[in-house]
Amino acid sequence: MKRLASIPTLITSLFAVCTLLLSGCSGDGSSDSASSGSGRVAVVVSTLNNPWFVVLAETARDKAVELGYEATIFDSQNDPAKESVHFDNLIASGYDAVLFNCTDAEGSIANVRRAKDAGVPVFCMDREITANDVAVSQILSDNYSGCVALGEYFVETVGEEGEYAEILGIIADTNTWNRSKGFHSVVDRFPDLKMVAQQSANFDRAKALEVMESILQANPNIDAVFCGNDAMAMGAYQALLAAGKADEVKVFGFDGADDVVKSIADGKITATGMQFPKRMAQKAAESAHEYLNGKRGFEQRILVPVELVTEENVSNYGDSGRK
Amino acid sequence: MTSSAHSSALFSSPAIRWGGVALLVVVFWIVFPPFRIVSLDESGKAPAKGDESEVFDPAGFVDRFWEDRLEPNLGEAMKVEELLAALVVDPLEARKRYGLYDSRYYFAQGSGDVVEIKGRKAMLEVEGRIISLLIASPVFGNTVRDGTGLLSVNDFSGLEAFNAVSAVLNTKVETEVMPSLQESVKVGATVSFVGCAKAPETLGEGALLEFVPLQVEVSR
Amino acid sequence: MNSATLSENLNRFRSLLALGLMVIALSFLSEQFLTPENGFNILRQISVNLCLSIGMTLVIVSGGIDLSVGAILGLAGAVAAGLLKNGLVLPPLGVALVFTTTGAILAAVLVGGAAGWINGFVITRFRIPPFVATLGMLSIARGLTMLWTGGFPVTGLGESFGKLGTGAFIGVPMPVWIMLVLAGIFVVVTKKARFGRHLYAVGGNERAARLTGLRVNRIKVAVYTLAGALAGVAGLIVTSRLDSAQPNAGLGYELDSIAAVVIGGTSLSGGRGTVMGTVLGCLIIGVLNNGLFLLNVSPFWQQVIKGGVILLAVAIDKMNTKGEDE
Repeated sequence: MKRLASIPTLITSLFAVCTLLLSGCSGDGSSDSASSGSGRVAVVVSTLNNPWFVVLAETARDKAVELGYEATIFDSQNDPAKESVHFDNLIASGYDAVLFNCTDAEGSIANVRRAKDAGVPVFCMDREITANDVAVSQILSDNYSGCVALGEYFVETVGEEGEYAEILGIIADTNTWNRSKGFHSVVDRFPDLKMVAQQSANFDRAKALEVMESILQANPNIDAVFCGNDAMAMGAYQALLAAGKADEVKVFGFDGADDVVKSIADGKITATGMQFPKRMAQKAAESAHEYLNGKRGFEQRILVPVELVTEENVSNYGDSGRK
Repeated sequence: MTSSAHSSALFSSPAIRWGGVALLVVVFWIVFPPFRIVSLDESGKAPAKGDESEVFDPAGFVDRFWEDRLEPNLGEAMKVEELLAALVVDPLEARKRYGLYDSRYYFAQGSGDVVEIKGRKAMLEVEGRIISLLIASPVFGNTVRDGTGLLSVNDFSGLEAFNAVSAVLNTKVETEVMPSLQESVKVGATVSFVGCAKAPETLGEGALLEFVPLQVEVSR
Repeated sequence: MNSATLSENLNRFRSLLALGLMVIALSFLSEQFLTPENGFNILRQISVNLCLSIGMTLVIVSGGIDLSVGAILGLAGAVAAGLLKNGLVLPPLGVALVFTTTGAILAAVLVGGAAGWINGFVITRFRIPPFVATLGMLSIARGLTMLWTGGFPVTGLGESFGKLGTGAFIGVPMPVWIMLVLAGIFVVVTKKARFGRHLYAVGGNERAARLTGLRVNRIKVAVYTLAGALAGVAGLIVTSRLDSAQPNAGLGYELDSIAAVVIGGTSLSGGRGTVMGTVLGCLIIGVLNNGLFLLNVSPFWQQVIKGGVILLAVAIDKMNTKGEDE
């Protein structure tokens, strides 16, 4: 009996190894075009627990494969330490480039620097790292400007007086504050628009539902709610629906997720800022391709504009981009 | 009574042990001091550590930028008549040709007659075409920062600094360009301006372009 | 040689065999696997988990569980980083304490130890099940971390502190040294020292241990305190490596460390298991992670495979204990 127990261990190893082989093959791309590259590209993404980032990561991978690379996605699960492990691994195993969506603007710098020192170029997507000399290029979403436009539309639709609540994303995330500051740079100019509550719901739909319920308990008379991303906007909308206030309170989101774009068309959500994850991911993959083919002198930061999606122009937009 | 006698009999050995521990701690403290004590200054804050990198001062930056780079370059702005002529033919082509900052803004100068005041905007007629000029605060967005094509995000340490510059520039327009405008810009007046506008992708109704002014002169 | 050591050896043999098979298979499958660089890579990566897992082994052998180690890791790292960066301002005394790297290290270990001591105290004094008590501490430590940092990461901790995570001594990375020294100490302590013998006695049969006059509560408090202090060390490594204390650092790490302990052959019902086994458990997880990575397995599959390995390890463990009972 005891001797036999070592057989399952053997099976474990074999099981693992087989799975590796099976799933490892999916990265093969066509390599027929003349300028196609060869080598391996890593896509390191902050989280796959949010559909928006899945779109970002998969687009980056698909574009890299299209350009002739073997590409793999690594999920940092919002943990800079896990991200650090990914970087160690991909440096040791000789990846040629990294398409990178960081977990933390400052905490991730050390990782990118290690890659740079090891000669692995890193291209940031969507989220900024606050250093100018470690990534080859950063293709970033212009959250601040997007939220300025959203703020202007907010004042236009809600009016120059009233009460509103804000639901923030993850407190430690730079985009949370780029969005909030952009929004407030407009709305705070109208002293009669009063923010009665500001709470974080960690970019999470379920958490936003809870937070919105509490906000409604304390402030039943709010006119609008601004949410730091679309998942939270949907959560807040659900809470309003349950409280029977969905028609009185205007909901504003950010991201351009598919369900929110549909909800805007249905008149449930008032507006969102459309980010272009696919555009950013493709641009990052193309930059990496150019870099590996010898191009240098990339701009450190390239801002991808965020577009305001409202009832009037929603027909132009689809999931994560323009139709 | 008994307990005290008891402890005095045993006194020596724990005393030596604890004395030894204390000595070790003291030696360790001297060799590797865990912290040092400094007195607080008047503001009640601990003195900052020496290697604090210099803090970006957006207001100072904007003052210097305005004087040294923006004002000398105001004359470089394109003629608004030319821009409008291209715009009505094909807005996308005009964007490509004249647009700054990734083709998203125009930087132009010209003059026109005020035909109407709509809220915070003055409607100007330039060669039969209508544009608007913002004449009262607030100013939002990044039109001023990005519209001149003189500033790039890559000149800054990051987006936070870049966004802060935008906010200060807007305030500067509000406090230094706009104050007299609401008084002086009236229907019938002639206004010469230099300003920035977002580049539209399609021709909307009403004003073709919406300018934020950087410099304005009003004459009757 | 009694039957306990025999089964222990068999256990060890199985883990070694599994590890050996994996290493051989991976060496054939990936040319990048068997390189010195990748070897240090794996060791560096398991260092944090091993620090937590050593403490977790002690706790589980004593018949308990500690769900708070990940949160304590976060708290200790944040305290060290905060003290290093901002010092400790004491307005009533009109002074501030400016911390050195040594001070920050001490503070992290002390904070971790204190949190662990509270765990032990609550468990023994109020007879609260360890699962519940440490779940409470998990929440408290997370909350304190948020309060201390205001929810923002603390970054820019200076070069000398950074050496702890990124430096090397005779070619071997510092975290690996720390891990080796700690593993060595605790292998000896559990095998040779009186504390070790008492620990197994308590975990094997608490009532019997009490009847023989062992100070069970004291041992338990010591075990949780050690687990907390080790989590503090892990927090230092994480913080130093990233040059940044993240408010949510260590989220879910308690589960990784329980997995390593279980794969290493420690029984969740207490009294059985070794630190050496846990070292092997950590290595197996480390090699598995690294191997799945090198072979380009999708991250979704990686999680499934890891789960499967844990289940198998426990199944084998169960099969064995059953064999002994018969």
